Amino acid sequence: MNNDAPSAAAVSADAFVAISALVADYGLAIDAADFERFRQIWARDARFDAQPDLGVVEVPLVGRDAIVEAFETMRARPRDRRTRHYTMNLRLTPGERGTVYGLSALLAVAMLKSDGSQVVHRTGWYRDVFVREDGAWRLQRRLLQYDVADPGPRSAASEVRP
Amino acid sequence: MTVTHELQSCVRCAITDLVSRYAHIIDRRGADAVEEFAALFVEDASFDVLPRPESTSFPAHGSMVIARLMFGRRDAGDAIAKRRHLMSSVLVDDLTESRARVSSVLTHLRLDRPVPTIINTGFYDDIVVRGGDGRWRFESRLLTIEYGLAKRPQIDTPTP
Repeated sequence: MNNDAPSAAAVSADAFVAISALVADYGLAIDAADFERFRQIWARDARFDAQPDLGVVEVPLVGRDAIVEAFETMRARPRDRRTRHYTMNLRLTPGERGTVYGLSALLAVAMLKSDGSQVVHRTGWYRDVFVREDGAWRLQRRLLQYDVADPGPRSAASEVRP
Repeated sequence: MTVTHELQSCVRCAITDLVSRYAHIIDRRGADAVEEFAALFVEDASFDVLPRPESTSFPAHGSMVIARLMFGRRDAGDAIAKRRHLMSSVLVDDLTESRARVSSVLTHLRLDRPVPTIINTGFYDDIVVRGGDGRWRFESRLLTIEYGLAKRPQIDTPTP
């Protein structure tokens, strides 16, 4: 599967717009600690994973309830910063059995409570599978691949497919 | 089912996708993608950067010239370190059936340090056109990089 094939031309306008909003909602809901909104993002049998495991939440998480509970617990911990999640460079391609595959870049910016300064906290890729459930697009799978400090050359091409 | 394999009618989606695809190829693909990168541009496209980096060939003309130049810069010297082009705030103006003016914001990061750091930020001001095959491509790209107090130059037809 070629991740750089034209994607918007292969996913309907309705799906593109709805999934774009869903992707934005993920970051907005976490940052606002709005876990009712966060719950609406996920399919019932959703799965969340992160590589490498930085211990932000216990992974993998399987099932909507487990995902929401884990993020709510994580968000309730005392922290020395506030974080904003920005998702950019979204690409969508048709998946199997009516799903849509997504690939997007994460920029997490932290505002340090100590002095108010803002720094780039994390970057990475989201590899997603979106599915229609109960009349709306929802996240069925999300794999977060963090960028880790690596002085070597960039890795070779990889696929949109999660 | 809303997923189709037909050309879709959301022109803004297609143009936003073009902007994203540029970033994905330059950040994630090897040198074998140079032709694919060139295909994002019309054959006689132009690409310019302001302020012009020293010892470079900007403005560049022609899709393959642009692609080789950009891949060459990316892969030269310490630029081989992992970078990330984050595109946001994509605006599509003066949209017609086959032409549009596009503006977007670039946040350029380097990822080879313990904490990701911002190299620079800037604006892309583009003209995109739709070919006979229905695909949108860049006819021109102007990247205005913000260096500290450097001011953004006036553009003939300003975009918001």
